[in-house]
Amino acid sequence: MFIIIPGFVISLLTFPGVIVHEAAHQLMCRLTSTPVLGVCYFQTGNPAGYVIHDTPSSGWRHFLISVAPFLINTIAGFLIALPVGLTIASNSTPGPLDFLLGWLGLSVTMHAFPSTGDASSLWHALRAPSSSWLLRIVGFPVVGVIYLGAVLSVFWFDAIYGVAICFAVPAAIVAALA
Amino acid sequence: MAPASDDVFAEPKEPPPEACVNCGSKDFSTRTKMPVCEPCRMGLVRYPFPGWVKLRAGVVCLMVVVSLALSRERVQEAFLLSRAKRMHQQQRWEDAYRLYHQVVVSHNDTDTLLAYAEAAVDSGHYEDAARTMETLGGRRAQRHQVARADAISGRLRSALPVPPSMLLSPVPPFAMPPHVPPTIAPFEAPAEIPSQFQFFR
Repeated sequence: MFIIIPGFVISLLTFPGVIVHEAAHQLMCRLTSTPVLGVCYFQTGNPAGYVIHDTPSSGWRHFLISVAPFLINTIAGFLIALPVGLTIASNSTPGPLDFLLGWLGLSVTMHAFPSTGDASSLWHALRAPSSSWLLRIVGFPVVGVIYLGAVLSVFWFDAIYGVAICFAVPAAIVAALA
Repeated sequence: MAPASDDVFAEPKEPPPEACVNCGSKDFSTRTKMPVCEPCRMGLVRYPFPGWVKLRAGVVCLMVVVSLALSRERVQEAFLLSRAKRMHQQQRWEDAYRLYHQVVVSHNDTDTLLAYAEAAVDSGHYEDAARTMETLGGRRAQRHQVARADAISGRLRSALPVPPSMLLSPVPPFAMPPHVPPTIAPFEAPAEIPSQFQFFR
């Protein structure tokens, strides 16, 4: 049985993740010296947020701008929810602060996956004659994974990814290293 | 230049060919196809983060710091507990007992306490086992937990020459008061029966 919830409801419930996602794009634009023309950090429409930027000066810069939210949201969400994951791993009872950290961590991690807009722009950059073969080897699978994630998001893949990163990975790390 | 998606190229359809669209300078930047001069391009590179975004970023950073502070203690406990479970599975009772002993104060759920009591019985720490079993009294438990508790109690009883309760911390001597059998006073009818009861005479 599938539960269908409108996207804007998900965005409203997890709005910190949208803001972090767009801020990650903007931050990487700044680090790669790519001009930014406009940013929407959050809206109830579709998309929930966006960054309009100039064409990056190289394919690698474009790649970094596209995947920045994946790295930043995943790491930030994991760190925020780490105590909650450890609490679950040790079968303890979570407190009120754990619920807050769990919600924030899950919100941030759920929005780690780049959107199809990110994948589309990266696809065009990879197909440009100037892009190197190494970038294509790295980039095309990433584009494929992003599109796959977008398709599977209908089946709550983004939420499953968030739960796995926030709550399952800490338990797995403890079990592996203990 | 409508934002159709999350991460969009900005390609002006008809760039003004003569001057920077922002400041009117005649010197276009050579590092972009956009009709802007280099100072304006750098201004766009340093596109400002709004104050409220900076504030929220600060809150997120604060949360990361709080989480790391909380995690520091919980990581150690989680590792200890995980090692204790591994020792327990390998039936290395003394090691399991020592590891559980360090975490049972903060992880006092029924399963962990049962595992601790089991390790304590099998490693010969009967007093700790008896005390742990006593703290479990009155808890709601599932059937398998009750069966496990019964098994531990049975092992504890058979291992001890005295009842487990005798191992617990000494209770101050308690003197029972002398037993006085209750006496029933003989019934004496009242001298005058109230009028409302006269009907029943």
